[in-house]
Amino acid sequence: MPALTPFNGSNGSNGSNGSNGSNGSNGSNMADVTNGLAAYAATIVNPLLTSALIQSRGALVSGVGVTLPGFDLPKVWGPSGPTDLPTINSPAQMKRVDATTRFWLAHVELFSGLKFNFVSPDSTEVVSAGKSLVKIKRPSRAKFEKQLGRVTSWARLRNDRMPEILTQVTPQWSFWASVCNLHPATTPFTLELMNCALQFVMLYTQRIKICLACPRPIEYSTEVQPIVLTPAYATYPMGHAAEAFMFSRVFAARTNQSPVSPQTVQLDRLASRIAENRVVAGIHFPVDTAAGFVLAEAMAEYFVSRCDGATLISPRTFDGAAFGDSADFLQADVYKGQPPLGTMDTTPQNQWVADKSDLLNWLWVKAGKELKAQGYPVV
Amino acid sequence: MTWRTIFSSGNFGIQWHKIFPMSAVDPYLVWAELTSFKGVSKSSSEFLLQIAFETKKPGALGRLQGLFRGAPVVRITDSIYATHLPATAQTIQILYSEDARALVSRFIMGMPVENGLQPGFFNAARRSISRDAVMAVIDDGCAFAHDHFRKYTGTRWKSRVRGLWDQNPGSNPTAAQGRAFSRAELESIVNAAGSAAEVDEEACYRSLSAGFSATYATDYLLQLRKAASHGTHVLDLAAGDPNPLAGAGLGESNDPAAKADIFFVQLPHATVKDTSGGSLDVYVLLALAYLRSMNPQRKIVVNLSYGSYGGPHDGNTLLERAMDAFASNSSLAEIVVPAGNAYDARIHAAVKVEGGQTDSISIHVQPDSVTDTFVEFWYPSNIPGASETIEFEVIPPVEGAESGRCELNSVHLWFRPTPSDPAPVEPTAGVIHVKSPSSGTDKSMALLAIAPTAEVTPPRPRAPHGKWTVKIFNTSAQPHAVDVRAWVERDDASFGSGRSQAQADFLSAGLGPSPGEPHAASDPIVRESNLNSIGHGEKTRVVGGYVARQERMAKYSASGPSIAPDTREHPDLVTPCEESEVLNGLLAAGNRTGIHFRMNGTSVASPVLARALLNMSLSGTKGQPPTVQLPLEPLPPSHPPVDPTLREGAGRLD
Repeated sequence: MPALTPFNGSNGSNGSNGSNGSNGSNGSNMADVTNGLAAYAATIVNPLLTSALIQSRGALVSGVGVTLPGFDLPKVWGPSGPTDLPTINSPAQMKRVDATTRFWLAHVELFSGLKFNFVSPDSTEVVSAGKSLVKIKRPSRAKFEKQLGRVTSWARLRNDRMPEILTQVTPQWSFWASVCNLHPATTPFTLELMNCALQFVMLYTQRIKICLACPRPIEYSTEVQPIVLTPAYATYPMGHAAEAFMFSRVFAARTNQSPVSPQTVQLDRLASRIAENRVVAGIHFPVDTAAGFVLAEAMAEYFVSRCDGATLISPRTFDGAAFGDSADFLQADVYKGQPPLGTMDTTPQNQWVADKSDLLNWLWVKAGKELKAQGYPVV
Repeated sequence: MTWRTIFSSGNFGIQWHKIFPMSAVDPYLVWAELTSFKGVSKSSSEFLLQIAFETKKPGALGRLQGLFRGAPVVRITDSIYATHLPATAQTIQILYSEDARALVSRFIMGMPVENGLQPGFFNAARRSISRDAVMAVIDDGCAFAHDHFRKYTGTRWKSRVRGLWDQNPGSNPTAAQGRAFSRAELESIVNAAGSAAEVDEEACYRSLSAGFSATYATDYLLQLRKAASHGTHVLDLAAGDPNPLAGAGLGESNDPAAKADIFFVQLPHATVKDTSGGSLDVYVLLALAYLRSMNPQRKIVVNLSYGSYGGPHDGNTLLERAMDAFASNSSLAEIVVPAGNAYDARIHAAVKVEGGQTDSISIHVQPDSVTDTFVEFWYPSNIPGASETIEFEVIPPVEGAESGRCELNSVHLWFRPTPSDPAPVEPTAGVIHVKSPSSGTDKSMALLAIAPTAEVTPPRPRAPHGKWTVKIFNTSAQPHAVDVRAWVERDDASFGSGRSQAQADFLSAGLGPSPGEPHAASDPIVRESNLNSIGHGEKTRVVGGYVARQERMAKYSASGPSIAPDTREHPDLVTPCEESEVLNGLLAAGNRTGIHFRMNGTSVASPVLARALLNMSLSGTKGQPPTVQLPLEPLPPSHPPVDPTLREGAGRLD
């Protein structure tokens, strides 16, 4: 098997993500090890091998009757239910499922229960059972036009930032791994967990993007001339910012680190830099970063709350219209929970805890154990 | 309106508006004081201001020592001196006192330091008088243990470096600035680290660093463990054995310079990183004093491959005057500096503002710049009736943030409220408009200073990047046109710093000309008169660069003339700074004997001439260096028509 194939086998659907960056989520590659045989059988149609398998069985198996193997298979199956089959709806089954399937199972869990309210004319809100998670308002066209001056000013740094811009088009696993020391051999479940978080926030960003329908810089002026292909979807909020801050927040939560721990600060600075590079490249406005950041804060709390069933969610709002005309996204504003980076509602009656998902919790605990073994303060 | 005219502010409560009309003032010192020296010093402890000054009459040493209450005063020339004084309000008051005004015509500031020079540093009996003319290089990074700078005598290694002065504050672990090493010290290090066959160069630098403060030892080793340094490359071109130019067919391998003795002055790292070059002058002045004290009776060829963009561009800065004074005694000293690399950098603009009229110039300030951006506006202060009628207004790239007009001898500061700091006490930008700036004479100057656009430590207000516009008003009722010249001060990443691009430049009405394109007559950007800020002296040798194989000008090599009648029109001549269009730069020594690398820019053109001058001196040739009078290959026809001699001078060195 090639060393760097993405999730293999069943997930032809992943190809559809290719354009948007989160696809690299698949690049983490843990599926190669865990899923190699299944993928081999399903993907590569090899008539020679199939013939060989038929021929070999014919030679080995003499009768038509079935002989049980003589050892206790149900031990492998896990705890028994009343019919001598495994217990239904048990997270213990997760370990018998390949990584690709777990990835999609996580999505079923994460997406069930979340709804959109479309608040005309300029806002959208993500809710769950009547509880608000995040509300995002888009800026005016005039604001984007003012922000265009930021974009062309940042363009001066294109030569300087080119290596980063080009290598950060797809998810920035190399950059995250360089801060957190992640490796498929030592932290496979952490990679899987983070992969689920990234894909989750990416898909919600896409849903909000298509709702708020904000054109890209290239659609305002012929002088932007981006150095990477402008994606064929809306600019606001920025997916790269949402994903990179999602990584920072979820990783900090899983490793019990405060938002100002040295590692989290590095992850936040990395996220700001990744987002900034998208502006330098000419395909985003600074205000897109701010919206992406606020979205990530909310989605990370929801994700973690679904995993641990305990994390308190404080509803967020972001008003793009209130972002300064000539403002940039400032790292210093990240820790304030107040304008210019939106607001956070911490009144007790508005805070809530999401339903714990046993399947997500299984992955959460697995990742926690391996991170604890790496020395992280996981409880 | 968040701009305010200030009357006293900053750390020391200095009443600048009272001082401006009476004394020559360094506007950079004013900005540094207003921003608590955060842009120029990371030190939080008490520090000293290094000051160089020019006296009104020669030979005032005794009176100066009285004025500065015993602080050690170093004589650089008959009228230029240097000292260091505590950074206190009292010092600033002394510098601008009536007593000082009677004695001192102007002074400039170096980098704030924690410790000053040891008293008597230049008088210590450490002279090392050579038999012949010597090469002296003032630069950053000296791989003295490199094979090109030592030779084996049959029994032991002999160092070609006769003296090495490291000006870095931490190089002396005692309470003194800088540390000088003699040839004997360097030789014992080299001999202890090797045999006839091989010298462990790494061990040499470790050994030298053992005497430094722990912090500086780390910096020192970090620099010399990198593959390349600016100083070693320049030193190799100036005096390496064998001559690195021979490999490219540009010189004799075994020329006299390859055997010459060497002095090297290591500039402080903080000054090298201060890309505006503002703090360089004091250190170079001290370096010249060191070289003269070390080798007073023999010819010294000094190469100084440094410089910046700002200044009056008329030869009147203190450093240019001092270098001219040194080089005037041509039997003893030659000083060679690069013409500069600003020809295509869009850092010079000019407008003529008629009485009652207004004009404007726009600047692009880079995002993610961790340093201040400075733009200098110069105009003649001696036009009767018109010299006090110029006013400046700044329009930052934020709506409703116009500065209002800044008149002569006043300071306008932008205290920009932000959500996180609604009532800032530190300015985001400022205009310091003075009649008598200390770096020039007969000219007034307005300094536009803009805080970093990136987040920095210690925290400072973050200025908006993008298009800043400066409106220039001539309020005179007379139709006098005032010629206002503007230069963006240098803010490029220094060699090996790994910093991002931070160089601001001027914008023209449209998209602006690209290098090689013509620009409209109405365009304020001017391609001429962008020589290195220290490259206007009459006696200093100023060197441009050309592409050797194709025999055409390097696209960046800067252009004269000076902004003053009857002064330098152009560089003296041009020397190779690019081997060919495809082999960029010149190949010379890296930090280890096995490493060579290519470096370009007029920084490498300068030592080529320095080497030629030393060779002439050592071989007894008199007069001008050999030059070819033929002009170089003309530039593409679309290029703005510029007199070629403004860049080439007398021609190319053959």
